[in-house]
Amino acid sequence: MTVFTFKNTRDVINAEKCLIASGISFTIIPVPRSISSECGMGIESGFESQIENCLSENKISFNKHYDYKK
Amino acid sequence: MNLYFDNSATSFPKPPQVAEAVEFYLNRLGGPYGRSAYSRSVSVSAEVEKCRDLLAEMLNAGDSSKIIFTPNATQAINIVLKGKNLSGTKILISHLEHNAVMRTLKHLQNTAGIIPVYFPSEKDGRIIPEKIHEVLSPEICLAVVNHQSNVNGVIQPAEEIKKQLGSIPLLTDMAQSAGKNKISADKSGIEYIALTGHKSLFGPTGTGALFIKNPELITPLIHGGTGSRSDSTDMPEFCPDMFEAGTLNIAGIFGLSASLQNLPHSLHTSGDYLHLLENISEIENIRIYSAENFQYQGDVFSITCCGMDSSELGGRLFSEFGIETRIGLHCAPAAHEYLGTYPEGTVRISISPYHSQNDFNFLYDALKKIAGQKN
Repeated sequence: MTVFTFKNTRDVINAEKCLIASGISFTIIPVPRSISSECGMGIESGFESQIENCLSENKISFNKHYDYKK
Repeated sequence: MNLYFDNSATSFPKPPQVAEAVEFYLNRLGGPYGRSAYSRSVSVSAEVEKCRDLLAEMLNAGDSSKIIFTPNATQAINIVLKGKNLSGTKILISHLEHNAVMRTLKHLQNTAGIIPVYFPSEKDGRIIPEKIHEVLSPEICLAVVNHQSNVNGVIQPAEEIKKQLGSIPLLTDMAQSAGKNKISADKSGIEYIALTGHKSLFGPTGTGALFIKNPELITPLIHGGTGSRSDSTDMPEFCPDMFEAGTLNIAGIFGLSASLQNLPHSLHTSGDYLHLLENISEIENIRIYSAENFQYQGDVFSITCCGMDSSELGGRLFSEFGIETRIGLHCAPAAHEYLGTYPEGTVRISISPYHSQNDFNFLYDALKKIAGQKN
């Protein structure tokens, strides 16, 4: 699983909106403390490249954390 | 019969969806904005961001993140005036400014040596764009314009004013005009727009917003938690977070979002309103304070009655006819001075889309009776 983090709430909500519209499966999770304190919400998904493309197309900036394991 | 003519203070009634949305948040949804990741918090955050998008769309502001939620227009204005380094500069203002601007400028006059200078204006306070060049100087670092006067309802040509100002930034106070007299932030290049949610936008009190074109030029007025960059004691340097420390008025924003999606259709025509103004101006002993040209008339005007104190006129409108108005100086002493109604003040009549022609007729008849019996 990959975790995507964002600089603020607005970016998470915009990401959620475009991912739902694209039909990509994802979960909004509390950002693990080991990753970041950027914002309370992050996005976890196994569809890393689709998500990356979707976010980039919608000009939503993000950070990626590969193969995150709980 | 709608006898509430004090919509410039706060609009009433509101679209029914406003109270429903506030109730929904308070009683059934609840939860914080942006502080957690459970679905309740995500739903709340999504609605807040939707409201931000609706405001950005209304102002044609482009990037919604440059819309900052504030408790009111006054705080939005303070963010700009106190967040810019204006020490020793001149500020160009209209003659019809509200105390939200005038008192803040007075404070800056005393503490930072700013000097207010005035736009060239018509007798009704309307700025004359083609004469603006006559007052421009290199010391002017900001201009402030009350888009719609809360005393006589004059609407200022904000976009034309911005054109004449060139690179001088313009703060437009849309407390009375947001949603009604539209301006495009994007096309006009206007740098700052302050508004409130509870007047012409029909939202709850305690809601407001500020558009900032170049956020990096403004120092935040309030510091505190934002839910982002929580490992740092420095404020975030990105929008909207850098200007939104502390918990937002989420219940109010839910109501504002509902009002923006359900703005009322007017029960009267502009012809009905013009007719009302013309009729009132013909009543003997009544003097009307409004725009000289109806094209620039907003939904508020003032009146005085010869030989009668404004408090007596306003008091009789209520006690004899149930008509609710606002008397006095309307937090705009500078505007009253310019219009020649200081310190006595006026009776202010502010209409809303919820007024019908019958309501206007009732108001007119009441004024005619009172003015005819003034002795």
